[in-house]
Amino acid sequence: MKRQAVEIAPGGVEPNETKSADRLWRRFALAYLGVFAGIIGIVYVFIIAVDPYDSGRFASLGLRGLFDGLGRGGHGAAGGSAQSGAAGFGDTDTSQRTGNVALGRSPRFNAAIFGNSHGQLLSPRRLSQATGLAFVQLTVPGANVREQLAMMRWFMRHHSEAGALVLALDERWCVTDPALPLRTPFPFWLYSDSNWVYLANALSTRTLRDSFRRVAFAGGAAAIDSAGYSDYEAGKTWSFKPGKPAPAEGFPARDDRPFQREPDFPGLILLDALLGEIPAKTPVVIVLPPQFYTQLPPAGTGGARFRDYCKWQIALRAERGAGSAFLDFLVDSAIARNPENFMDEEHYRTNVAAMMEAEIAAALNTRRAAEAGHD
Amino acid sequence: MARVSKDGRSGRWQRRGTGALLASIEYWHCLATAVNRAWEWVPGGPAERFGKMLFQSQGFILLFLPVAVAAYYAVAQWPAARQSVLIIASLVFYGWWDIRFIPLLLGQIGASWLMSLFYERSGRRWPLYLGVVLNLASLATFKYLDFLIGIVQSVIGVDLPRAHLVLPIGISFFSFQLISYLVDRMRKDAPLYPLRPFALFVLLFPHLIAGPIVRHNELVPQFELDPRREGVWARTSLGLFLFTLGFAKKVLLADRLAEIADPLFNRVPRHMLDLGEAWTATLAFTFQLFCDFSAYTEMAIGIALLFGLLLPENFRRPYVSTSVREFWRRWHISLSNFIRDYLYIPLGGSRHGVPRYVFATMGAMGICGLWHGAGWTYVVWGLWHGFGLLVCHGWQSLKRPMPALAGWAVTMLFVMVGWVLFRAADFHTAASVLYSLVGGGGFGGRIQSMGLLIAAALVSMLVPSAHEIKDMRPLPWPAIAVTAAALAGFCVLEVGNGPPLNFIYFQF
Repeated sequence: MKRQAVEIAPGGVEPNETKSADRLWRRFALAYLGVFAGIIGIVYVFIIAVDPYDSGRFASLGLRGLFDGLGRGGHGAAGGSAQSGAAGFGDTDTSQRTGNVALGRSPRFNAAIFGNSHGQLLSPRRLSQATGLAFVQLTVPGANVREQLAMMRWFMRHHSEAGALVLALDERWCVTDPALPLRTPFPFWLYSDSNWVYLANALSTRTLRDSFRRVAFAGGAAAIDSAGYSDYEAGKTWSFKPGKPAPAEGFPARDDRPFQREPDFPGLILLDALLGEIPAKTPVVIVLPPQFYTQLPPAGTGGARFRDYCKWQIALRAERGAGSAFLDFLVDSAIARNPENFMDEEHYRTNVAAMMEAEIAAALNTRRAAEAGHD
Repeated sequence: MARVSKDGRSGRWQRRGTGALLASIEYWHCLATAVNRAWEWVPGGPAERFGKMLFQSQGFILLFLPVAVAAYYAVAQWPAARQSVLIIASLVFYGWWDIRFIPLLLGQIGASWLMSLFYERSGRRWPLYLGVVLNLASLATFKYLDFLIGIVQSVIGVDLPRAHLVLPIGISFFSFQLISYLVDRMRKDAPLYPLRPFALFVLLFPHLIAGPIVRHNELVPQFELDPRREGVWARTSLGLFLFTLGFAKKVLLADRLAEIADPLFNRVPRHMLDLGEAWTATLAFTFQLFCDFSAYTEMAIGIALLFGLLLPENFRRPYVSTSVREFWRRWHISLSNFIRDYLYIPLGGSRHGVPRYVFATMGAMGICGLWHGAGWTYVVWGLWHGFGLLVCHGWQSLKRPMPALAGWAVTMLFVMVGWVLFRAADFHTAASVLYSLVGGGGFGGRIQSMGLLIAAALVSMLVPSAHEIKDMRPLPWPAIAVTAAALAGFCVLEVGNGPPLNFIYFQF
């Protein structure tokens, strides 16, 4: 085959293209475009048809749901055994960011726990047993405000008559930056109200990989925990030795600046909008999980006043009638001073989670008692 | 209004008789604050909601580019119509980033063309000078104002407010193109073009954001050529191939190198790197910068070819250079040519004695550094290369050429030291990394991600440039087409994993 110059423009290479060469180049270009369009088209249709995260948005291939029937426990099941989300579907962190899509829309549940790793150890099974509701865990490790709000909105979109919401909030809700920056990337498109947004983001090697995984799952691969519970304590050796306090974000724990004015908390303003759409009869329990006392700003400092003001603002959001409550464990207490209660400065252990669950259940059960009294 | 001084020094300064300067800065700051506040009320581009539209984003490849090409060829037989399609596509492309800068872009184009028209009609040169001043003023305001204020502050010792104006993307590139046209008009090297092709010469979206910096006479005559002329399939094929080559370099190499270099540079100076980390960071950024920028250039040239247009070369495997002079003949060629023609030669060049040569070289390279960013690290990077060019010139005048391998090693070391300055956020960071490179942070550690670095090095030094590929007269083998298409398909899937990363040179 004779090499032909590519005629580009005057002053470029001499224009000696022949008709036969042009035919060959036409074949080259069409081969490129055909293969490219074929790859993209086939992969895209496959991903949409498989629905890798069980979002239920489009008619899929009818594959078994990611949380259907496998997994241990499920709604109302006894126990609370720690089945890590790592089983079969990527690491815990990734699986919760994407796996919560299926859990959040599942009709098996009518109550949910939201938050980040600070709420992760609250057991949906124990809460279900104690309240008679069907709880699902929708916390996301490392999540800031916007991710948690997206998760709440997704759950409420599919459960307009929810029995209860438990919000495990922390210092990240007290940030004053209107941009509400993320700490780690989050697939908001999966939780979007718009199917167009979903379609615009569905094409990637990650969704392709997870589509194959879902096909494998349908063939009997290991399941994810059916209620979304993930115990970060499981399989790890506890060795918390309190050391020098690390810089904290959100609450300026060791900040001695004077607290001069009442700041706005953009996260709480967005939470207001969401709570406004929730039926008034749906109880909302807001929990501030405990942290080791060194994380707390010393009394009398600007940081403490800032924290107290933010706490007060958070507490206002829980004033919704019977069943709703504001449970503040983020205080300097005997619990907060005992290293035995913590995995690290920020993360409590299961014994503390059980104590918190009891108080959450007690609050929620006041509604049932009130309704029984009313009847 | 922000306070000019927090410690009363402004009073002393005013007593020295420079109250007018401070008052003008106060006035300017009020104006900038008002502009910034008004800015917040005007909606930005669709990128805020739908994500960025970069060359490597799915929206660009799967939607924008096919639609633009189809519309262009649908009206290809009418020059005015196809130029209009390209202008509209370019405005959509730019407005996608931030629609608020469209008036600035069109304003600079319109003002420059009007000045050229006034000159044509009056024969007087002052409109051209005014046009240059307007473009420089725009560039200075949006890119260098805070930098200049910082200089004034350090001289007078008074805290001054900053504007924090948003930098219009690509302003350095389109301002330079407009200035070069006006200067060429002064030199009688450029005609008065009709407005449409003149606007398209600046707006053409393949080069609008980050070059190559195109001279009017390289591009405007091409607008008259029918894109369906002989060789259309060869141009299309080469365009698709070059686009794929750049796409793969960006997604598979540059972005992955960034994941190595960025965390290491961001740890400095809080943490001193050990020997292995310092060399990893330096090598990773060295290859990231080339893979990133040359990838953008190859994609730009490839896209332009789809429209039947040829953009100039920007890189010619610079990391095989055996001297600093050769490096600047191979690195960012369109900028090098601009600096040579519009700065170095007017400043005196090499034909007016050694002192003038030193002045011209250092001046041109200092401004070249400043062009890259409003910071002293960029200026010093430019001067570092100016110094290198002088030494290189002196060595070559001795007529004792260095062995090629030694010349290559010295050149690469010199260039990499420069890249540390270029990448570092400040001199403290740069000094820390450079100190670590010679073991100041300990001789431990090892070079990480060696496989990726070797792959990037091989690609940087062995893969021909876009124009080299064109001039090699490639054969239209279908196997190459299928392989390239599969690679492009994989890269499209890869970029879907997260928001696309900007090309480094977008910030300039």
